[in-house]
Amino acid sequence: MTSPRGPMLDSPSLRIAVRRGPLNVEDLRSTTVADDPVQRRDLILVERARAGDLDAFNDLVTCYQDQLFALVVRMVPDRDQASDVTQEAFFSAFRNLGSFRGGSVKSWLNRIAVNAAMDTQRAKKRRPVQPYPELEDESWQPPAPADADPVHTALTMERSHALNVALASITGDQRTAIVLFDVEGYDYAEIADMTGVSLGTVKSRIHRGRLALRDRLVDRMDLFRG
Amino acid sequence: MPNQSEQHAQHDHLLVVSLAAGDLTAADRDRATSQVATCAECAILHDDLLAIARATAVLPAAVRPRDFHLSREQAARLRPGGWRRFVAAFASPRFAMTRQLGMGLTTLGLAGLLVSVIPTLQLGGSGAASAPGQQQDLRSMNEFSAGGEPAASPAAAAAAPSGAAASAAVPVVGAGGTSASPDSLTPLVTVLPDATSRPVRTEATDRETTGVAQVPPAPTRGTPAPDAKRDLSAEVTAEEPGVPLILVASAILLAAGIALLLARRVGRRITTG
Repeated sequence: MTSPRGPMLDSPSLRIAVRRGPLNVEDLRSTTVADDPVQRRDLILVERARAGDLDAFNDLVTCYQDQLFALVVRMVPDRDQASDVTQEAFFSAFRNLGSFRGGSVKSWLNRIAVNAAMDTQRAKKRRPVQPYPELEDESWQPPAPADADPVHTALTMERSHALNVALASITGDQRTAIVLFDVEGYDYAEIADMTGVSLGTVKSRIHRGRLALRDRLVDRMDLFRG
Repeated sequence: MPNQSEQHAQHDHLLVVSLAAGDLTAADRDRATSQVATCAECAILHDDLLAIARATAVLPAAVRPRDFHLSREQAARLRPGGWRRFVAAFASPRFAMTRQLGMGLTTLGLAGLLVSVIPTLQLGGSGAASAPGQQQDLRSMNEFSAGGEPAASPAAAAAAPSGAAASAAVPVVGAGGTSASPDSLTPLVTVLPDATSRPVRTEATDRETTGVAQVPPAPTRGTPAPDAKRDLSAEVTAEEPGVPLILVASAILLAAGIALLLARRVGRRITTG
């Protein structure tokens, strides 16, 4: 018997809104199923974001914004510009969710960020200004742990600063190749694919970039030796 | 004998860099190894490169200054609907060729317009440059017509003395029952300030006022035959204005190119806010 005010909780006519469970990975269109749990999580989030779930996309942002900003800020060593480039990279990723064809979501996001950073580097080359004045400001560097040895911390900061300044002074192409190879750990073929140049060009950029770094750091190599 | 620094300057430094990177073939690796073994500065360079690579790999990540989460408004802007979605598609990387295509079409359209318009401008320019001479020619032609041809139209002859210059001039030019259309000649005559400001004094009107019989005089030597006037009239009528096909095609190309460029620009504005 139904209540005159509406169906009772145990009534079969009561319609309960049930939150839809997460999509199976097998539901993903044109994406490859990965064994890596991180990759499976990423693929599920991408598929939800494709379906219009903004929260799912923001979960991806949460997972990768630190890593993406760290990558971009090494390629564009101006913090404000790097911040804008990172935001633009996430905008671009959101716009192009439909063009994601599977594989590693991290690589896909990195590729978008690298392209956005390279566009900024090209624009900077066309309109040269004072290169990266913020390198003198170390307030945005990660804080040292509380129990760290002060001497070691000072040495590390000094080395990082010298290296950042040297990296900022080499060409953008060389910097991109070195960051992707040495910091991000991509191999030559992946870098060539990301940057749209040949394998030989990637090697040449890395080698010449390292040589240029050494030329700039030759007077401060005592920071790096030992 | 050169010292060690001069020898080092002649060494292949990139070979040492490649050795440090570990991507040399066996033959090159042997050559690089022996170079590093025999040259102290090459050995230092090799060690420095390894140290820099190690330091670069552990470079601390910078602290993110802000949050990059997307708001609902940003998401709505990035995913436009309706016509905005259609226009935004032109700015997407998939339609990256729209800029080049738009610029190409615009260039072709402009070039086509120039090609189709320049000859007209040149004709107009030369006509304007020779305007006084042309005016003189027309005036003398009018006088010649009146003198060399009988003023066949009585109306024209009657109108001339009354001071209606234009009405006098038109029949005079087209006199003699030639194939010339008065309509096609009227613009040529009306550009003459003299023709509109004062009556054209012709021999026909003179004859009529003096009462001389209207006997057609024989064409004199040195004056053009009536056929020449007929050719001139035909030439004038051949300049009937028509819209050349190239002009239409160029206008269409130009419009399409500009539309593409505008769509791309609006699309970029929509997607980037």
